[in-house]
Amino acid sequence: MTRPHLASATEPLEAWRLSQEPWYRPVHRETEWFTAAYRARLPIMLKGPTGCGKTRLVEYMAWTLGRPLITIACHEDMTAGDLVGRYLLDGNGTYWQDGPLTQAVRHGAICYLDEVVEARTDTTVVIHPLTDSRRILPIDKCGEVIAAHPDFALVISFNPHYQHVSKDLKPSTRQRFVAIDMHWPQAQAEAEIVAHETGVSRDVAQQLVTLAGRTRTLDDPSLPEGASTRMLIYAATLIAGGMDAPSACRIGMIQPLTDDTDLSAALMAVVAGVFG
Amino acid sequence: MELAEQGSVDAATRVLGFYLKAAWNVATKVQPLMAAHEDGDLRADRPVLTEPVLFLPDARIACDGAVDERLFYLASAAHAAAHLTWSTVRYERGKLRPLQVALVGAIEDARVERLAMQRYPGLRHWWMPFHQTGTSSVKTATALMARLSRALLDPLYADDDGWVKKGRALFDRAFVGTGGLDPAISRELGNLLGNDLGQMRVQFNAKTYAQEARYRDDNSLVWHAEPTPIAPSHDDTPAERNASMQASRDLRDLPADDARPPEKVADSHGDVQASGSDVHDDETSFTLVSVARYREWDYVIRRYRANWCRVETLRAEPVDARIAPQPDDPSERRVRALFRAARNRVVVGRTRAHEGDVLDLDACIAGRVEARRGASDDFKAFVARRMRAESGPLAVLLDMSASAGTAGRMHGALVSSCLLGRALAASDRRFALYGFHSDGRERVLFHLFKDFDDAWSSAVEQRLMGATPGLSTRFGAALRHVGEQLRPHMTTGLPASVWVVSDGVPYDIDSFDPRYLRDDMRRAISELAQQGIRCACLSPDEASLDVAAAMFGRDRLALLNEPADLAKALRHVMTIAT
Repeated sequence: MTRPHLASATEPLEAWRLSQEPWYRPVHRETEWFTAAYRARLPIMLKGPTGCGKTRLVEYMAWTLGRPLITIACHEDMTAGDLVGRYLLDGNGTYWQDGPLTQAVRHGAICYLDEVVEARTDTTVVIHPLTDSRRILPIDKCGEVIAAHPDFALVISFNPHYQHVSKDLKPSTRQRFVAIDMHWPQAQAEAEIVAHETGVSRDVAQQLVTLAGRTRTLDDPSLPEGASTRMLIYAATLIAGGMDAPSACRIGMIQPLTDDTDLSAALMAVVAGVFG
Repeated sequence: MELAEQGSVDAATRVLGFYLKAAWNVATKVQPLMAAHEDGDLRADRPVLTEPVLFLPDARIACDGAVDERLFYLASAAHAAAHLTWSTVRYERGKLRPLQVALVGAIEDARVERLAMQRYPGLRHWWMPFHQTGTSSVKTATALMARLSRALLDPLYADDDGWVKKGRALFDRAFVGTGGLDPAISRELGNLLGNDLGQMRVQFNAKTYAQEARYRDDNSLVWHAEPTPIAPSHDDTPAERNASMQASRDLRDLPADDARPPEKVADSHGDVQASGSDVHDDETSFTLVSVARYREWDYVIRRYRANWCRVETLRAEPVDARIAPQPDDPSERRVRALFRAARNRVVVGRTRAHEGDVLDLDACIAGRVEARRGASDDFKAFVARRMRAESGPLAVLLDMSASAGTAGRMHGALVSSCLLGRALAASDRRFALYGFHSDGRERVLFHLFKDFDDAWSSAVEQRLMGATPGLSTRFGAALRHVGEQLRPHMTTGLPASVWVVSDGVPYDIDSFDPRYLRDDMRRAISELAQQGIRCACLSPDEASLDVAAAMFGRDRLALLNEPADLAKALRHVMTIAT
């Protein structure tokens, strides 16, 4: 996550700047809301199903706002030390190494905690002092309190549809953020996105979107969440590369969606109906 | 376009259920249609569609091997879905002749299929193989109608018959004019073309007529009149196998009586002794393991009645009573996958590591000493945690009362318990499998099918599948006894669980106030919760869900209609009660 060998003394986060503008098609007013929240330096929570464009939105906004972006993919073994930093050892003793969150706080980046509910709740509480009016990061291990850089912003994302008994944000964490709820785009917009990202024809993109729509309306515990826009892009990429549509849907969408053989057979039947 | 297994309808029903839901947002169930009688008076080679259920014949009977069986099921399901989506009105037969009735049905089939193909173009490839009658056929009414059906489905099919051409032209014009959405065109065109066909003096036998396309249902759905009953009612129940069950009075026959819960089968006292002896004198023999007494909550005096219920723990000898489900059943695989995904990880120890969050001071000092000495060493200065999948103990409690056996539900509960046991055994989870029923407070019978220390084996399965329903349901004592069994195994600090397979309604012969046993049961569940034991209920009875929800809580209750739904039911209760 850190790239100390790339860091320069004058622009320590230069390596975290996006090198080119990410393509993003707004599906509602999310860019406007994001910009307003950033200007007020309010922490932002992005809620939405997997693969609906949360990460792409953050990248696009980082580019638009001209800030470096430090992305941290959260996982259940992640500790506070992975975020804040830790003492490391070398031959001469210990030295302090900033974690990615601390780097973002010191130097004014947008810090994006992706799928924050995957991290344990005791880990996520380290962001609390950064998300209220104090905007500080106390580091107890080295006795330092860092006041956040004026350009620092914290963005977290999570998928509220993925419910597990131990995977939810504590109210004390949730209520520190403004929340932008994102959904899968409307069919026409989604087809436009799929066609733009992969180069398939508009008709094929439309068929894939129809198929995704069927998986999303299937309200069954065997399929907690339907096909994402990212999945459609994977399948469309395979089709654009010359694969036949049923095979592309099979390996790009159906098999990743479910291990239930009956359900995947049923969804393959829907594919056969859609693509003929 | 493939089904999990070829052949029987049973293998295809779940896939087709998913297909209908996913592709058409239709919640219609798919069930096998009964086989035809040998004397031929009951035809069962056609799908039969009702709003709640699509009955499908065995493809081997319906198609005689002429078409791929999987294709037949999919084609039938898609056709049925098209009807359910667009056949929005029921036609009056009025004065229509049988020939016109048949034609109206065929044209309605063509209308909904054309609409369906606008949504899913690939459906044409499913349906066309079933339309083979061509221009070389003899000009009977049945053949001409088959040719018309083919012409309306396949735009590339050319037919030179004047009546077929007229039918196609009229249909195309009417379809374009209304966008296909007006069901009246089927009635109108059927009437008109039927008149034409009648004037052609072609033979038509209404009794033997059936459409050539065998995936099409009998169209009973589109007419107001009742169809000939050629399918079994979906709530028909198979004959009960168990003697004590047959002796029990079914609740549906009982008069309403506020004093006893109407949803329970309640044996009178005399009956209970008879069926109670049945339970013990059955082919199964029991070994008495232990006897315990438990208190019971009396809501009237707001006190516990000490040592009120006597619980006998019994272990049955394995018997070859019923056939256990096939090994590696798809339902079992789904449940196993569910358990794998739901494992908790706990810290079981610490080990030294090259990197981590916590420094090991002793290792650091030793490392510095080694460095000063100039010795190279594998320097592990940090402490890392070791994780292991761990879950609290689990007890499955099977309701073996007479009411649990109504409507043939006991077999489903036993199969579900067997699948559950196998999946739990494969997941290395500590679990036990118990059953219970009662005959008054002095005789609560608690059956050990598998204790925590027993290995899962075919003997356990035989013991379980040999269980017979009878007697009543004194839940409070049984739950307290389960709690006692669980307590010695709660060593990890993780909560224990009890999954009750039952309708969740307590009843016993010596209690005439329904509230008495319900309050005690609620009390027992709350006592277990205080001890860190969470209860959940898998109920096979939709009618009593409200009562069970009042006992267990709605989040800890799932409907378990049939063993195939086990994974679905568990997924619901496991997020809360594991």
